[in-house]
Amino acid sequence: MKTKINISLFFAYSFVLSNVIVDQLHLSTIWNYSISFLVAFVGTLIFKAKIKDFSLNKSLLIFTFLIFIFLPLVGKKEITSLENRTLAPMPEWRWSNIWKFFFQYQSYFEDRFAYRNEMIAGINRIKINIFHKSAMSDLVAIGDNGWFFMAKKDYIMATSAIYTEAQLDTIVFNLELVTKYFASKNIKYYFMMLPVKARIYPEHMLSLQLLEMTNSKMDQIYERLKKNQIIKSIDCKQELIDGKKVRDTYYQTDTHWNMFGAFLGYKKLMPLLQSDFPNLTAYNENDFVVDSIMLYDGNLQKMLGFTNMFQMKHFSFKFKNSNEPITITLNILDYPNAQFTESQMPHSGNNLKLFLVRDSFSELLKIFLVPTFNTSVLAWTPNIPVTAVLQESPDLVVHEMLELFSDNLLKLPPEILADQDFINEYMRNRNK
Amino acid sequence: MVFSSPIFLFLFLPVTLLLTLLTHKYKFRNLTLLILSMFFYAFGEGELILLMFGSITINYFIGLWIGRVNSKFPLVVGVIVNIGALVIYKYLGFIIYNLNEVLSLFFHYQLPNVKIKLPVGISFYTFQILSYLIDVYRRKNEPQKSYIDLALYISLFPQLIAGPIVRYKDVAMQIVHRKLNSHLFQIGLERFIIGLGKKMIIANVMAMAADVAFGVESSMLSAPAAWFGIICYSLQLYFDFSGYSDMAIGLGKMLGFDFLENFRFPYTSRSIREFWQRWHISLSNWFRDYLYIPLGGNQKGKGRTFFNLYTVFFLTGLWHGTSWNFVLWGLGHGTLMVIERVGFGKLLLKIPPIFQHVYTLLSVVLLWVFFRAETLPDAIGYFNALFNFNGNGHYTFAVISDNEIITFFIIGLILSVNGFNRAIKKIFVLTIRNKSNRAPIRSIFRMSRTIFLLMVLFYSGMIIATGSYNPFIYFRF
Repeated sequence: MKTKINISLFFAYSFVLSNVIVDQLHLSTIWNYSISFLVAFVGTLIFKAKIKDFSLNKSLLIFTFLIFIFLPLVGKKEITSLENRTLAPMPEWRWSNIWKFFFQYQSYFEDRFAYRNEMIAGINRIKINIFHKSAMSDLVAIGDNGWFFMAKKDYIMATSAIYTEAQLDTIVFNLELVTKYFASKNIKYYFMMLPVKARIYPEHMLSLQLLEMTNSKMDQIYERLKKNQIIKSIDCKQELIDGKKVRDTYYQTDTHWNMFGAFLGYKKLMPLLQSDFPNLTAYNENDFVVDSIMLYDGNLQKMLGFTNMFQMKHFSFKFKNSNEPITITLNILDYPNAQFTESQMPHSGNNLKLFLVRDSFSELLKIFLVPTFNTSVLAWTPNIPVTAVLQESPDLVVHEMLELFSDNLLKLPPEILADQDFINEYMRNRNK
Repeated sequence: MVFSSPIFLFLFLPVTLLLTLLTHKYKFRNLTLLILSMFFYAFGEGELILLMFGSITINYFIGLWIGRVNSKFPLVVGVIVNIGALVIYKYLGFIIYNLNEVLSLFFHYQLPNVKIKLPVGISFYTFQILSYLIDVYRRKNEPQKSYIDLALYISLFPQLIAGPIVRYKDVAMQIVHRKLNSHLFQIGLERFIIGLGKKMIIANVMAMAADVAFGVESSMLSAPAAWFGIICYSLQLYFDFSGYSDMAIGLGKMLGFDFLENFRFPYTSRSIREFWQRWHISLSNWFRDYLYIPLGGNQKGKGRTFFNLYTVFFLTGLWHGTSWNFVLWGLGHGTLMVIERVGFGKLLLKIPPIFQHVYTLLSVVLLWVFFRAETLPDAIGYFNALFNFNGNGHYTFAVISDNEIITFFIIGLILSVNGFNRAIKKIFVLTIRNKSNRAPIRSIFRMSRTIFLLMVLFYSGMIIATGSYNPFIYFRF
């Protein structure tokens, strides 16, 4: 009996392993199974001669171990990253590059070995069920009631470090300069920094992460901007916190705000824009049909290898009038790494042109903002593309930026930095 | 490359096992293993492999030279060359830093500081080479005439970067003649899985709490959190280090080598003296045989014995890292050894065992503060937190712990004192007592053990796949 189990075990493992290897040849299914069967059969015949040396325990341990370490080597390489990043490429072998090759190959292999994503999902499932904790707690923290938070060390540093007085001075100076620069070109500039999820839902966070994120870069910047008369800034943090009484404002398993949060941001932004452009009409909640559905989605969930383990509440805001803006993609050659789109809304009731400098949070904000303007140009880029702004000649620039990227404000856009005459003149006027 | 990485587990190890099994003649097998060991080192250390190659080549010739002549001179050359390389690559920056501190008291002149990348494992392989040269000089073994075999002894990947420090005479026979069979493979594999589990499942989880405790300002740490942090660190260190040794011993067995044990439940010790007979045994033995005894050991009077002990523990501390904290840690152990020798040891034997354990554990755990803290002020700050001189910190026990940490903390405490093995054996004995047919129960126990080991393997392997928190604590050694 034991011998039969032993042989069956060996045959099954050999079949699985050879099947995974043969699968790389992209043969038809029948060929694939036939070759795998043949290999497993011959292997089992050879094993049968040695079977005296193998107890059932030994076979189970050794063969399971071997299949566990060989499958990731011979299986299909992963082609997608759970963390929404580009996987390390296969390094080029050159004698001059030999030492770097080893390091680069390690990154390549560790990004792509077969079954990586399945193993990540597996261990996360186990740890969440047993310990209510992700296996990658240095990447994603699981808080109360199914609320996930980004927990990367560099993310925490980028959002929660304390700025020096000099750094805050630089940020304010740069924002002033940008405002004045665009004003000199007859363009109004509005700055809108958005809080990361931890600022809105601290009650769901782990106490350790809460302590690590005590300081907010956004709060430090807005505290300084309160005293400033030049920069037009919008702080919607309190509205997002208050809005929770009505509906959630951020997704549970994602880093982003939801459509209701985006709508609250829009509502906070519009009065400031209307004070400069009175013919702008803002949408109210009455203009929309609001629905809520549960979705299996969220970038934080995906980082743990899941696609359908956790649900998050999604609010959809659909216009009662189905006036969809016409959107086209623009190619602005000076900015090869930025995405530009232009949208037209003929029935907006104004002739204003918006230039929105955006990050991923504007994916939902644009749903409200774009139909408000006759023309909207959206630039998905970390820095203000000054040349593109001047080329498009909008009436206003809204610069939406997540708190995470606040260090970008420590640098001036290169086009403004190059305009030394303007900077000198501004400095002279400022010192007066 | 470390054992707890995807590239080791899912690329290097399968390829190594395949190639080792395919090569039957020992010469080819040794050459294959040597090439693989070089790849193993190059993946982590890049061009520093050239340093190891250079060291192997020089020591090959020095070994032959020592074997040919009846003089101490070639041995002295060998010791100077090897200790010189160790000092340059490991201690030069530390020496210059301290010289500059002294110089700054008297002069404005400062020596230019140097930054040299520390080759991982240099302390281990240098000590192995020294043991080889000294044993050849002492005629305990013949000089190795085959360059490949000597290179394999020095660079053999299982023990290359974190020990155990294998002595040449212990593996000389196995290099030229070793058995590879499924029985040894199974024993080695079981040991490897246990080591992998110790590292990935217990040590890394303990590290999460320890790193938070030692990472925040000590004034922010409450006393219970500080105690929890240092006990977690004690468990991390034991399970990481002994886990790595288990993996090395297991891999060695799978490849036909038999390495000596490196840890024997050190936290069950009843004195510091016993602790050092159970902790990092290969290093303790090395210092005993190649330093303590040549210095005179305990044969030249009490004063000389104490001096020898302090010398050994000063160097043991320095061996672990280039910081005065390590020296203080070593001297702390040295002082306790001296205290035990002047009479406290005898007194210890008269008190109940529980107090012997408390004394030893408390001493060991408190001295780990020096080992873990980055600087001396950090260590002092941590002591302040331990004895609550800081008031109430924000980082409490509840903040730095979670379900997983507490679970493995308890499991770690039990396993570190051999509780699990004893309990299983006891259950087994009780189950088979008075049973005439013991075979089925034995089979069930064996099968349970196999399934348990496989679960540990899968769990550890999946954690490795995440590429998440996986500290490597030997980078200073």
